[in-house]
Amino acid sequence: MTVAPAPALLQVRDVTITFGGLVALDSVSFDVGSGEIVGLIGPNGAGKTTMFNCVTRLYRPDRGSITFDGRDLLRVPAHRVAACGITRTFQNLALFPSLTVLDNVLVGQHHLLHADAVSSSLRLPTVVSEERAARAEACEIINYLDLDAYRNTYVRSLPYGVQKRVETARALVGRPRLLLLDEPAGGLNHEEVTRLGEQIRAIRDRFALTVLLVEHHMSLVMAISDHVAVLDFGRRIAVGTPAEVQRNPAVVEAYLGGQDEDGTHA
Amino acid sequence: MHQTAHYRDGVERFVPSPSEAVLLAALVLFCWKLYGGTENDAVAGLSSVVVVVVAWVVGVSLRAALNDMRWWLLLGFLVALIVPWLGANTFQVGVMSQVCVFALLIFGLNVVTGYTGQISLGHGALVGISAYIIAILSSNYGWNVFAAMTVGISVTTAFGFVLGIPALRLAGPYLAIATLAAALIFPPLLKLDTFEDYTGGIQGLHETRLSPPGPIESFLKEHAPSDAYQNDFQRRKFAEESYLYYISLAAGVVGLVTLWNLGRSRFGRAFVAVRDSEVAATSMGINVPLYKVTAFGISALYAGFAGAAFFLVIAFVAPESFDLVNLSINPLAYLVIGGLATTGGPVVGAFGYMWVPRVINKIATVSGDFDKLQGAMTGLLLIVVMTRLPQGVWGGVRRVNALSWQRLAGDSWAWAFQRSPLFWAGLALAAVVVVLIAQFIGTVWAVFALALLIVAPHDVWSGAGDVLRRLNPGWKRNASIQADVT
Amino acid sequence: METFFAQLANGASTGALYGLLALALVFIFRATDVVNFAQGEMAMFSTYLGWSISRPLSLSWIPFLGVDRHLNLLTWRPEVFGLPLYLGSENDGLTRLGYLVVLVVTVAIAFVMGALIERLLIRPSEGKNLLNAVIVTLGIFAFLNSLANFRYGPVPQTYPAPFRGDAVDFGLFKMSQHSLFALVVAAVLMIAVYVFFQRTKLGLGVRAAALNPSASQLMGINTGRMLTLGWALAAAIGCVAGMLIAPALSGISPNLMFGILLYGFAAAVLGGLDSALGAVVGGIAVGVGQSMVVQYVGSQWSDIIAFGLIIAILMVRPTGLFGAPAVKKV
Repeated sequence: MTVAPAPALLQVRDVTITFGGLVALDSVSFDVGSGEIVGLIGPNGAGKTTMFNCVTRLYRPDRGSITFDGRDLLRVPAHRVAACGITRTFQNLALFPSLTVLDNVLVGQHHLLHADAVSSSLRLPTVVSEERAARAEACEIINYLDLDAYRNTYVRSLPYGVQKRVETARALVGRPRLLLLDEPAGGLNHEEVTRLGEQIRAIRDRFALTVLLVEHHMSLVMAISDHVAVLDFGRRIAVGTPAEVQRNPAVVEAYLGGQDEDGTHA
Repeated sequence: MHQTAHYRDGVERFVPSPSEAVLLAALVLFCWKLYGGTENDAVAGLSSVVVVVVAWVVGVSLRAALNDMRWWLLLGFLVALIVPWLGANTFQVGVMSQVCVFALLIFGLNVVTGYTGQISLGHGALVGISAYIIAILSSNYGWNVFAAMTVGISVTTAFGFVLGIPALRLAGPYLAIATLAAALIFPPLLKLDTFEDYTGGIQGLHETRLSPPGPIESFLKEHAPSDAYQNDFQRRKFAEESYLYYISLAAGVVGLVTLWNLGRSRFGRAFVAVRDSEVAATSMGINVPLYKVTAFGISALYAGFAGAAFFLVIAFVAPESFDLVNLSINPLAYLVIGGLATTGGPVVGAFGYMWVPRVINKIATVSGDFDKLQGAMTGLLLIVVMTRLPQGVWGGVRRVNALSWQRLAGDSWAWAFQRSPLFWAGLALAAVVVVLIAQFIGTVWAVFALALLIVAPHDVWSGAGDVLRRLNPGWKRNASIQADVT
Repeated sequence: METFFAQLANGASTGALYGLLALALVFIFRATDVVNFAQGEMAMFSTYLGWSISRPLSLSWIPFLGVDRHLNLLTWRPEVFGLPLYLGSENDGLTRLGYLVVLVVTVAIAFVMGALIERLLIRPSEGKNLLNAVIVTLGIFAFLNSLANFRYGPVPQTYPAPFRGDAVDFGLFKMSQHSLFALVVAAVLMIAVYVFFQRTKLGLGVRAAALNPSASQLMGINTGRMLTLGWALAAAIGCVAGMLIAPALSGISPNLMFGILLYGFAAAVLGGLDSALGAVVGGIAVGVGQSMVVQYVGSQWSDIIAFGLIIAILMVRPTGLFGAPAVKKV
C-alpha cells in the first residue's frame, strides 16, 4: 500500500501479540495518513480493540513496531501517549462516573496542565489562570458537542448516548492529532448513526485531526473512511479504499463465510 | 470541586434550604442561651430575632453571591474562632484542639482513601512516626520544637511514599491488610528494649506544653469568660488551652483550604480518575503509579502535620496512643461517616471522632443502662449512618440541600401515600413494641430495637408482611412496596 | 530439639485455630467481597452464648418437671436401658456428649446470628461502596464487644475443654489432647469447606453469586440467599474456632478475639483471601512462626516479625500464596 506519498502519521508494522498461546494479532501492518479517516473493521474477535490497546500502549506487542509521526511509540510509556498526540474513546465506556461531565472533560486536559502539587494546593494565581483557560477550552468543546445541559451532572446518571459524547469530548480536549474512536456508533439508532458520520467528518475538519475508527457499522465506515483496513482472526486481510475493500473476495469471505450473525453487519 | 454540581441554581433563593433551616434553628437556640435564657425574656427574644434575621440575610446573600457552599465553611470558621468562649471549661477547648488535630489526619486519609480509593489502615503509624520524631528530637536532644517539627514532618512524608509502594502492587483488601500490618508493627517496635533509651519504652515521652508568649497570654487571661474561669490559675489554664487551640485551628484551616484547593485542581481530578478507572486515566495521560504514590505522600504530609499538632496539644507520646483502633481504624470510619472525597466530610468526621464518644458518655451518666454500652452505641451509630446515608453525613446534607421545600414535601407525601395501610399498621406496632421495650426492659434495648427498625432493609419488613399475608390471604398485596425494594 | 518440636506442635495447633478464623474470613470474602472486622467478635459472642448454655439451665418453666429441676448440659449423662449414651467421663463430671451438644447448639445459634447480621445489617449497605460494608462490620465489632462487656463482664470466664487427659506422646514431642483435637477439627472443617465449594451445587452457587451477582441472578440463583448462607456458614466456622480457642487460652473474655482476629487476617492474607486451603495453611504457618519467634527471638518480636512477613509476602505475591492472581481487564 503506497497510497500516501509522505510518510504516514501512524505506521503499524508487523505487530504481533499473543495472550497465553492465543494469537490476537498476527503481523498486522497498516498506515494512517495525516488528515485521513481510516476505518478498522473486522468480525467480532478480529483484534480491532487489541490493536487500539497496542497503539495506546495499554498492551505491549510481542513483535513489530508502531511509529507515530516518526517516533517509536513502543518506547513511550502508556501515560505519555496522550501527550504525543493520541487520545481515544473506549468500546464499553471508561468514563469517571463519580465526576461531573465538566470534570471528566477536564481530565482529558491533564497532560496539558503543568501546575505542581504545592502551587495547586495553594491555588496560586498561575494555577487559577491555567485552570480558567482549561475550563474555557473544555466548555467550548462541551458546547460544540451539545453537552452544555449536562455540564454539572454526574456522568453515572447520564444516558448511554450522552456518555459516548462525553468520551469524545474528553478525547478531543487533549488536543490530539490522532483520535482513536472505538465503536462510536454502538447503541445508536439509524438516524443517529448518519448524524454521527457527519459529526466525525466535521470534527476531523474543525480540529485538523486524523481519525482511526473501529466500527461494526459497515455503512458508517464505508461512508466516511478514506481508507479501510480489515482484520480477521488477528490477521490483516485487506486494505484500501472502501470501494476496493468491498470488492475484495477475502473480505466478503470473512464476513459471509463467518456465517449469518457477522454477515448481517455488512 | 463537586460542591457546585448539585447545588440548586437560584431556586427559591431567599428561602433557606432544609439544612440551612436546621442551622438557623440552632442559631436561635444558641442566642437564647447566650442571652441568659429566661432572665431577660423580652430583650433576649428580641435580640435573638435580630441576630437570626441578620444571619439569614447575610447567609442568603453570601450564598447568592457565591452560589455554592463556601459560606457554610465561612460560617463554620467564624464559629470556630470563638470556640474558647463557647466551651464551658478548658477540657472542652482541649477536645476542640484535638478535633483540629484529627481533622488533619482525616484530611490526609481523604486524599488517599477518598479521592484515590486506596484503603489505608496504616495512618496511625504515620502520625506516630511524626510525633515520636518530634518528641525524641526535642526532649532527648533539646532541639527547638519547630525545627524538630520540620524534620518530623519531612521524614513522615518520606515514609508515606514508602507506604505507598505496596499500593502499586496490591489492590483493595490486600492493600488494606498490608497497611494494617504496618500500623500493627509500629507500637511493638517502640516498646523494643533496643530503642527504649530513645522512645521511653512503654512509659513513652512527656514534654512540657507550649505556653503562649507574654502578650498573647495576658490578652487571653484578661478576656477569659469570667463566670467559668474565676481565679488566676484557671485563667492561665484557659490562656494555655486557647493558645494551643488557635495553633491547631490555624493548622486545621490551612489543611482544609489546601485540601479543598487540591480537590478541585488537576491533582484532585487525577486522583478520582485513578480511583474510577485506571485504564482510562492512563489513556488520558495520568501516570497511575506515580499518582497513587503521590496520594500516599500528600496524605502522609497531612498525617505528619497531625502528628506535630498531636505532640503540641497532648505533649505526651506513648506506644498505646498509636494503637490500631484509635488512630487507624476509627479515623477511617469517621471519614466514611463524614463523607468520602468531599471537603466538608472530613470536618464532620473529625467532629464525630472526638465528640460522639463524649456525647454518648454524657448520656451514659444520665441513664445507668447506657454506662457499659457506649461502644454499642458508637457501633450502632456507624451502622445506622452507613446504611441510611451511604454517601456519609456530608453527602446527605448535600442531597437534602439540593432539594427544595416543595419537592421535599411533595416527595414525602407521595411516599406516605404509596405505603399500604399494612405498612403503617406494622410501623405503629413496631413503635408500640419499642415503647414497651423501653418501659419493661430498658431504654438501651429500645434504642437497639429502634436502630434495627431504621437499618433493616424494607424487603425484610415486606417479607414479614408476606408471612402475615400468607396467614391471612384476605389482605391484598401493595405493588408500591415491591417497587421500593429495588 | 525437644523444645523445637514441642513449639512446632504447639504452634501448629494454635495456628489451626487462626486458620479456622481465617477460613471464616475467606468465606465472607468469597461470598460478599467484604473483609469482616467483626468476625472475631462474632466468634467471641457466640462462644459466650455457648458458655452460658453450658451453665446449669433452669428447667422450671417446663411443666410437670418439678419446680427446681436444672439441666447441666456439660455433665449430661443420658442412659438408654442402662447403657451410657455419653462418651467417657472426666474427673469433674464433664461428658463429651455434653460438650458436643453444647457445640452443636452454639454453632446453630451462630449460624442464625450470621444470617441475621447479613440480612439485617450488611445487606442495606451493600452495592454502594466497598468501604461502607467494611465500616458496618466495624460497627458490629464495637457493638458486640460492648454488649459482651455489658452482659458477661470483663473478667475472663473459664471454659471447659472437652479433651483434658494426659498429653499424647509422639516420641519427639508431646501434645495436649485439646491441641490435637483442635488440629483435627480444623482439618475436618477445611476439607468440608473445600468439598462444599468445589463439589456441591450450593457451593458453586455461593461462588457464582459472589463473582457475578447479576449473571447468577439471571441463571436462576437466588443471589441474596447465597450471600446470607455465606455469612451464616462463616459465623458457624468462627464459632467453632472460638469454642476451641477459649479452652486453649484458659477462658474467654470480651477482648480476647481481636488479637486473634489480627492473626487470622494475617493467615487469610498469607494464604490468599479467596483460598480456603490457603487460609488454613496460612494459619498454621502464622501459628508455627509465632511460637518459633517467641521461643527463639523473644516475645516482643512476635508481632513485628509476623506482620513484617505479611508485608514482604504480599509484595512478592500480591494476592497471597494461594490466591488467584488478579486479572486486569481493559
